[in-house]
Amino acid sequence: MIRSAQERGYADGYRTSYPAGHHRGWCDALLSWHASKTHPVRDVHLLYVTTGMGVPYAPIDEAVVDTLSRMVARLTVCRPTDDVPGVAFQEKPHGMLVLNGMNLETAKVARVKEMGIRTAVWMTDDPYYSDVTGLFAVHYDHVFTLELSCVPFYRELGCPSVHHLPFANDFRIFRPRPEDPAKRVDVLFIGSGYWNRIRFFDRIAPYLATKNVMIAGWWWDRLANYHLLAGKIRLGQWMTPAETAEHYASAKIVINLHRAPDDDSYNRNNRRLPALSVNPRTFEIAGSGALQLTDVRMDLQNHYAPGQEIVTYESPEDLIGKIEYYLAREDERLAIIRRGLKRTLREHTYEKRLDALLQVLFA
Amino acid sequence: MTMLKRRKPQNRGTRTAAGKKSKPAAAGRKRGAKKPAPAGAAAARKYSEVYNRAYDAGYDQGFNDGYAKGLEDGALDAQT
Repeated sequence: MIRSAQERGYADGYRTSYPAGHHRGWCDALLSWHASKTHPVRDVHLLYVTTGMGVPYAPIDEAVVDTLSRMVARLTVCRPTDDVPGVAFQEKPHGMLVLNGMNLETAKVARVKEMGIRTAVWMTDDPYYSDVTGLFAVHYDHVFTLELSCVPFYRELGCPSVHHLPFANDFRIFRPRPEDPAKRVDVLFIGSGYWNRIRFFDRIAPYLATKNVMIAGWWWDRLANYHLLAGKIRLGQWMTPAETAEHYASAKIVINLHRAPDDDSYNRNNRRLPALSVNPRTFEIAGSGALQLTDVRMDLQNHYAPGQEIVTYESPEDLIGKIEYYLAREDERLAIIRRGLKRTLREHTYEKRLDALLQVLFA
Repeated sequence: MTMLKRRKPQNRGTRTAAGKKSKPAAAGRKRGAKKPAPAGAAAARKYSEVYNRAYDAGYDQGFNDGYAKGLEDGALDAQT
């Protein structure tokens, strides 16, 4: 009997942990491969103007600065409130890249252009604030937008060079990592309670109340069913990217639900430009080693193969069905995570994005 | 008079369609989780101790073997 206990216990333990070990090893190998890749350094001097804002933009600024510093021979960084033309006059960069652009006066952009310096802006929030971005986009030589529907919009405004350029994953932060037992949940959503999200989560609240779930962000007390989920909601908590990444990596399923382009309570999009493209968190969740269940945006299939590298849902009922399905099928869950991670490492990095941007800027 | 409350039975399983009680649903056991000992005999406790110790050893070895194989597979996968 003792021998039987020994053999059975060992076999059960081995069988339980092997897939998790394999998954971790596989992810680490892919990350090592990615880290070993080097990019040629362009012999150019770039002036980068940050958003000049805090969260959630500062981490994007950091990712762009870190990446550019490895991709160009010289990088000068300043804030939109600085004397940008003065810096440009003194440093004489070959080009200037501005992130977001809302805080940089157009007169400053014009003065930099007068010096013969190529200018580019990368819009961060399209199409939600198109009433504002439409006012200053025309002052740049090149406009990059993460939203497909904004490409014709800026062209119609007279911008000579407009390109679709989504954000990406910053693998310094969002990467597979060992689970934190204190953060382990089956289902996770991190983000603000915009009204379309409130309506959606109110419908699935009775189901989520029965699950090991965590929701974190602002405004979730607007849920009619808040009482059902109160113990699972971290209300008003703004997580840093590092904290968010730890939670993603410790969750079996992370829900992604894009905000609505026609929510007038927060947006400034009177032209009602549609939202066709994916949000930055699409790439961040995929890079973190969690299974992502996302609502569908038209552009999604250009980045990930639904059902293979990411899972999509069409309705609250569909989401519930897929949560149940993948929580019960660990092998399938891990396989989709691995394919999504691989695609993200290959195609959705800031190195890839900025390489494309620099090609345009210095063509 | 003070009424003594009866303790609620813990996780005794559910009744099957035939009216018999089924075993409680088996939860996925993680490293360090103890297999419940069969009621009664010292032999059962011994069995449980040996099982749990072996389970932990198997868990560690399984993870390490899986990790090594995952590194190999991942390195190959990265090339394709």
